Amino acid sequence: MPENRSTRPRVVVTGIGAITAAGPTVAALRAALHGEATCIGPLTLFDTEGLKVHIAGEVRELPPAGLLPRAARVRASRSDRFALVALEEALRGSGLRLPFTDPARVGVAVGSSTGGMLETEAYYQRRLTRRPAGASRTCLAAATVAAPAGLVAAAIGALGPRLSPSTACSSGAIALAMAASWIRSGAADVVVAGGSDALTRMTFTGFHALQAMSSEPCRPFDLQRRGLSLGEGAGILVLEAEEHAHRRGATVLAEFAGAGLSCDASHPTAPHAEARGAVHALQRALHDAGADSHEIDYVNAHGTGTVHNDASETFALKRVLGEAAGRVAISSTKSLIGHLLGAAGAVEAIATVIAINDRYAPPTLHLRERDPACDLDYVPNRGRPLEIRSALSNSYGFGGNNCSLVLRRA
Amino acid sequence: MSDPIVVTGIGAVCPLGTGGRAVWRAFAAGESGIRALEATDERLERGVDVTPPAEVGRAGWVRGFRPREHIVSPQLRRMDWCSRMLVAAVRQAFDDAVTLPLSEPLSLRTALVVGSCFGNQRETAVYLQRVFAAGPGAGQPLLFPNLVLNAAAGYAAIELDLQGPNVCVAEHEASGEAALATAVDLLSTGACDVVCAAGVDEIGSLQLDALADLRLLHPDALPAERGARARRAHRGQRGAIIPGEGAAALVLERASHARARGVASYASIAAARIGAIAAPPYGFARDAAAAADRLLALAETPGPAISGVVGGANGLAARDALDRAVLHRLTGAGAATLGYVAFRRLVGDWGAAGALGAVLAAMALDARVLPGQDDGTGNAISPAVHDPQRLLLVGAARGGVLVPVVFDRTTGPSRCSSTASTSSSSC
Repeated sequence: MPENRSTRPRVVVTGIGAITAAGPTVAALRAALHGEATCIGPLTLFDTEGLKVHIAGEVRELPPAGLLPRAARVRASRSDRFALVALEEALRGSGLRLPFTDPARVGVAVGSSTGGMLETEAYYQRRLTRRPAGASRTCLAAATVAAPAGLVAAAIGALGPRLSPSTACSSGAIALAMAASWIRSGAADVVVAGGSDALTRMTFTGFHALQAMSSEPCRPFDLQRRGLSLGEGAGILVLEAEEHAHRRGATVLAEFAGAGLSCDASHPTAPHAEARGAVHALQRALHDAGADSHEIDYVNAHGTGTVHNDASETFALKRVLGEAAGRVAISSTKSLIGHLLGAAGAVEAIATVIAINDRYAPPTLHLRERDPACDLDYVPNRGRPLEIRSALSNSYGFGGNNCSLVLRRA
Repeated sequence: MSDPIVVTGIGAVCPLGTGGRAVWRAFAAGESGIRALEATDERLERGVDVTPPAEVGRAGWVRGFRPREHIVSPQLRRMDWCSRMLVAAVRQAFDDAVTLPLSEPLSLRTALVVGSCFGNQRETAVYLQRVFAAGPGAGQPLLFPNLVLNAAAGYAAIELDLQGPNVCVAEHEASGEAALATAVDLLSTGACDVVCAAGVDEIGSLQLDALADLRLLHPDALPAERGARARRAHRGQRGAIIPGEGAAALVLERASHARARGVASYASIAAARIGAIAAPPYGFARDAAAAADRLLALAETPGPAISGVVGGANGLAARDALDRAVLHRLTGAGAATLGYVAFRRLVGDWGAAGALGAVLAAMALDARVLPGQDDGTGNAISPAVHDPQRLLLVGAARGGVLVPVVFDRTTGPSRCSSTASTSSSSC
């Protein structure tokens, strides 16, 4: 039977961990959110010769992960390692100790859009040039998008439900939505959830070929916006049944109040002309959270900086929030760290948790002249204090995939 | 459960044929879909697949599938092979469930969950080849959107106007079963009224290269000369996977919802749960007996005893051992006439093949028989089980993932004799 909102367990966030272009910690991400400088810079991970775009939100500092199992030390992909770094920080913050007393009650949901593709590319390049696959062959075990979730589970000994959603740029958000549903249904008490993605030649050249990337750091909602800036990293959240968190005296960072999923069912890459999918996702998220549009004070927008996305998302927000849309602070943190694809939804949920706790609306950088089609408050260039009761975080992906999350002050 | 989740529509595009009933007939007759690709094969339709047959030995190639007979969307010309298989299977399933065309309220409440391990391999290889050969600027804008794992799910949503949740999941060898479990979750939480659970994967040169490199391919799956070399060097072989490809889809809804629409069901789903057992990173659980115990604990649900097992044995020693351990535990519990089919022996192995296993389980309950299976040389491995009441689909993947799905027989009329179905073929 469908869940009864009044009787189902409340889901809370008790730990967060992030590795982004801002640095390998939540503290680094928080500093970036409070600053006015972008972390998007020259891309060094692979060759971009012949392209018009040479910048990205590249992770410069990838510390060794203490939780990396010995058997995975050679095989783990860059995405896998991102996930473990974020996992360690999230676990530390949550106060959960290993080994778990009941590992079968701990789930893992980590989304990714490309998994170990960066390493697969190296393998394939060697095959094409008929060179021995050599060390690149050992990375094949971690090639799939399911690898980060598997490694996270192995690292912490989680034996509960496990899932690796791969829905392009909404993967991380959908992982969080599925994680919350497990807790509500009683399938798990704790779920380690989020997303992880590394920059790859495939995605970088692909978005370039689509002419969807900007040669300068992205300028969401700006009249002169030219496209997105790619990024990489991981975000992991510890979601927990509220009662379980209270029982062990954990600090609750926010309530994971609801999620809404939908599909445009109209075009493989472009948003629907009337943003119908985005509207449905927002409506379902608010309904799931039992939230009124007037309760929303902040929106962490998908805000890629492409012409179509920003106007479409603005339209959807106005349609769903009504007159409240005019007073809601909206920001695109992609202007700070880039678009993290499968990790974006998770890292942006973390940015939203930070915003709620810091009573602060992060800025949208590089917003000089607002597009008339984007006529809401995008917190241009400088963050500001803001009392946030509830917030939305939007993620949209190829395939017309939409996911909106509602996070609420605990 | 007072209002169980039931299977009301099925679709399949696989090495045994196209269409649920055609696949069932071939399966029931014990046919194998493992074969060599020929130059005149429809699988080589221009623009769909360029994997030259000379590079591949015997495999579970899809047969008898003509995309244009199943797909109406103008997006067809943009769709890769994986997407074409999935969209066709999903359309068949919705057609079989008598839901088409979807009304506006139902399309908003209809979800799609697709499992896939590798997705669109062929175009990924083509895309990367070009970028590596001609430089980063040679990325192809028409190919790139098809390279994300959920591309096929997106095309299926466009084809049928599925506006509900659209989720694509990967869980290695258990991607199909994970899609089923996720679909059941979505229905259970009220996120949708109808959900299609599906799985799709294709054979691609990247995967074949990788499996051969890792010495996991069965020598028969290699071109003749390489296969002979591999047989001679048998000592280094670590697995015997015959790759396969295909798509399968099941429409699920609450029994009350199906009744209100006047549609009979194939079977009900008593349990579909994802759990895990300790395993090496990227590897299978080493203790098959413990894995079997955990899997059966996850599958535990009130109802009749398990009559048969739809196993996932695929030629990997550790995976095959799990099926044996599950059977050992169940027969040890006194199920004397337990049936067993290792359907991947007939269609090859692909990550989301579990969705096809689910189709076969549902149809077996509906047809009141789980066919027996032999070892390919006429020696019976397991007998046919007549009038099965409950079947267990054994989903398991590297990383210790376990996904049992329990199907029960429903009490209504058999879909094979139902007049509600619009499907052109019969059981």
